[in-house]
Amino acid sequence: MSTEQFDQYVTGMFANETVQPPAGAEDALFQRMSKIRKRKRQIQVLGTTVVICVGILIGAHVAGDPHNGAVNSTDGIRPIVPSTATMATEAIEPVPQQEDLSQPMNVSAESEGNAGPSALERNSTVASDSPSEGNDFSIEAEANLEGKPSPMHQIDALPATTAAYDSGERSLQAPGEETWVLPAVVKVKD
Amino acid sequence: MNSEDVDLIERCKKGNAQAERELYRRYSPMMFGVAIRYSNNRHDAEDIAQDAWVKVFRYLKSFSENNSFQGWLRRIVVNTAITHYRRQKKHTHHLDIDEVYATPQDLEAFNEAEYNKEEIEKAINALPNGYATVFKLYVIEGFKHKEIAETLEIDVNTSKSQLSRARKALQVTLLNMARIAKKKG
Repeated sequence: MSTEQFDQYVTGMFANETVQPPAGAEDALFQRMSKIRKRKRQIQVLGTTVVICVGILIGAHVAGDPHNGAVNSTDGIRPIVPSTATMATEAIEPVPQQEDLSQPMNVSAESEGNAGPSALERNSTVASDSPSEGNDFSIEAEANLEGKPSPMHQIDALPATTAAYDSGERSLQAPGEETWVLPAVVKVKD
Repeated sequence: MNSEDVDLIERCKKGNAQAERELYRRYSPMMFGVAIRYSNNRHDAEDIAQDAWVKVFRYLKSFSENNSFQGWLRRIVVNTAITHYRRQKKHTHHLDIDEVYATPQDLEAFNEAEYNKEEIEKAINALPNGYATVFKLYVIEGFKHKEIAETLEIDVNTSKSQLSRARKALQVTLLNMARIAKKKG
């Protein structure tokens, strides 16, 4: 018997082999199938619910979107960005040493004692000159109502002041010194 | 595939419970026969057959009528059995056993002898699992070496060499069985 013959012999023996399964196998299978299908349906329902909820949440979010014309809670609030010039000045300004501070303070205290009212007294005078304590805000508010810029907004007027200062300083300079050539043009030769 | 099967499958695809039961009754003896061939005991065979049927009903929609339905079912059972044993780590496909050498006299004696189904079944089951699985897949189920390699996750050449060794081992086992029977007789 050759290998091929043996293979065919064995194949023929087992080709249509059938074995009857146990009696309870059918019911066990279909019970399991119904459980699987029930779980699958539950997952589908859960999935649909989640999708609907997410849809509602997205819808609500879109309805509250400022680009859709709804009220934006941040309207009118300008972000406070500190001036770079101020920041630079603060960074460069050296911290005075304790020893340096003590002497001028004594001097000022002496001079204030002799010459006039101290800073505290001046402050108290200013405070007493005001109509009543705690009305500073009301004054500011009145100033705003009258269209006058409050001290907080006076920083907008700084360029004019700087220009005036510049013109005054220039007048102090010698006429010969006003020969600046700006901006400089640099030509690069090959 | 006959028209009855096509109609039955179509009804199953639509979710008809009665058609599913009918399909089960028609093909469960064949499915269980394959399952029992690849399992160590009847209880394992029941588990394998049930898992295979769950897969059948789950993937029936993807089955094309142009293919052989029995072949499709057989393949599902075989794959389920292999997965089952791989999961249980009882099954290894790379068993190293001593080389089986059949002498020319053995082969001559084998060629002359005749064996019945029970003897061959017993001899196949006496083989190491790796050899027996490759032999059953190739000779009984009609798988190609490439398919066996994919199913068992082994090399094609390993499948070929294991089949060759399985044949030789089977010949020796059958001869020994015949000799023992002769002595007893």
